[in-house]
Amino acid sequence: MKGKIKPFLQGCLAIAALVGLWALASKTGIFGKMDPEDAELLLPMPQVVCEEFWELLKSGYLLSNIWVSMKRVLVGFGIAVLIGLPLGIFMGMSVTVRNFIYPLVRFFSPIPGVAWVPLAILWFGLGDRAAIFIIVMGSLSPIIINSLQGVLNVDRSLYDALHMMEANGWQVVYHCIVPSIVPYVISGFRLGLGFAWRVVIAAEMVGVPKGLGYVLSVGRNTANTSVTIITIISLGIIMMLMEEVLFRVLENRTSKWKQWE
Amino acid sequence: MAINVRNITKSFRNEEMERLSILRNISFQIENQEFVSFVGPSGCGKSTLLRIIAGFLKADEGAVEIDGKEIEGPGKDRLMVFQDYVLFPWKSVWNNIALGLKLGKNDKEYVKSRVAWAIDMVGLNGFEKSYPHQLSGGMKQRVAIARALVMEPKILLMDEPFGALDSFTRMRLQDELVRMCDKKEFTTCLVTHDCEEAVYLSDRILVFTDSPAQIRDVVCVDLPRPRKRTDPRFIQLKDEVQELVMETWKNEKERLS
Ligand SMILES: Nc1ncnc2c1ncn2[C@@H]1O[C@H](COP(=O)(O)OP(=O)(O)O)[C@@H](O)[C@H]1O
Ligand SMILES: [Mg+2]
Repeated sequence: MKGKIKPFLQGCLAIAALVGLWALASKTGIFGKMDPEDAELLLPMPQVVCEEFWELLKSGYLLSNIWVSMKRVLVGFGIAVLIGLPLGIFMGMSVTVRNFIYPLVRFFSPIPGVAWVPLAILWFGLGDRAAIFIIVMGSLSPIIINSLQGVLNVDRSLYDALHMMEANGWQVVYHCIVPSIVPYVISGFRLGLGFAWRVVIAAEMVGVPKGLGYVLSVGRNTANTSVTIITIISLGIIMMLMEEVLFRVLENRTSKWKQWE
Repeated sequence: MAINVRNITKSFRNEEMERLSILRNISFQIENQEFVSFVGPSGCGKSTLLRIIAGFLKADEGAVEIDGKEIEGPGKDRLMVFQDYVLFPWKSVWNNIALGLKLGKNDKEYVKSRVAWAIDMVGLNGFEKSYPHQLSGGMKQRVAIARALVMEPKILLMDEPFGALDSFTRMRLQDELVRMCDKKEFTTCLVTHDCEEAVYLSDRILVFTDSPAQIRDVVCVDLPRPRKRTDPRFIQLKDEVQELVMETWKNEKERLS
């Protein structure tokens, strides 16, 4: 426990320094570059943002929009996992499947998820389904590619051990492939979830109504910088929490035997 | 079970895609419950031969017959103990040993009693819940041996199983292997580079030439067990095997010069 307090305090110190710098910039008009009154608009003081934050929380406006985005991310990411994980595993196990699918993955993976927005809105209308489609497209490839890498890196001699014990295909997957690829899959999920959030925010900013990205665009249209800053802070907090909740748990579960590496 | 190795030939392709002949027309028989060792210069193809008998590799020509039936792939009648253990790092000792029986959909109580027997056999009591990374090399190899024995194989294939262990651990495990083989429940093929180990454990020793491997000679060890490493006859046999291996190595040198 003692070893954790020091890094935590250091982290807090960095945040405090950043807030201090922010207050200073706001007060001096971005270090004298402009009239402090205009600066107030471009970069409001931290306490002003804090008050607004509290107001937005109380009214439920912020939370309801976070919830909208969160739901989209979780459903879209869940679908991406359901498709990407088995697909990656099959691609790793069968050269034929790999030869068929890999070019497609290579082709689609560099296309940013937001590029799908116009098509998604056309196909699914302005709503959750469009957002979910975009998230799936945006987070699928890191999940597939990492699962595939994991399978390709399985210790081949474990296959020999299972084959001599006459394991069938499913047993090989269950006893060897799935446990071996956990570290790869976790990093694939990390990337995928990060992409999912980025994509959903972008999609909500350019057209899909409601959600955190929508709040951002409303903030921009009404020149309300506080709202923009609040949204950024909320996003950071949400990502950190999700990281802690989803991946810490998974990683702790595997650390028991992972020390062998 | 008896093993009949018939005219096995095997070559690999190297990086330049040239064919490298590794095993050339090898034939021999191993009787039921016999203990046979393969010794020879390193890289001559002993592991390749063992992997062909295990069914992991296919020979280019020839066949391996077990009790007259040609093998088609790996099977639980022939279990391998690998030099680098090949345990499942995410499974406890108990689960590593139980794996083969669980795959075969055996009754839970039966699995429990068999695993308890195997753990007892290799002296791993108290380590059931440990993970492989927590064990020493000797203990890992005990797990691997127990994992094989628990399935009551008819043939045990061992590829330099004690090669990575210190000499005291190696001698203890050799003694334990003698004790296990004494029950006459399986046939054993052992690849080793340790001539003393070969003489200590085997009924017969096949000495291979450098690759492409051929059988240079067969040494029968006519000593009762448990054997004494200091027995003059033991030392004589060990020297004989050593001499034969060195000789094939010398031939290689002459060929090169
Ligand atoms: N899969 C493979 N592909 C190409 N060459 C191989 C392969 N496996 C083994 N060899 C080569 O075959 C030769 C014999 O190997 P091996 O059977 O491991 O020898 P030993 O066990 O007697 O030391 C070596 O020269 C090795 O490089
Ligand atoms: Mg070898």
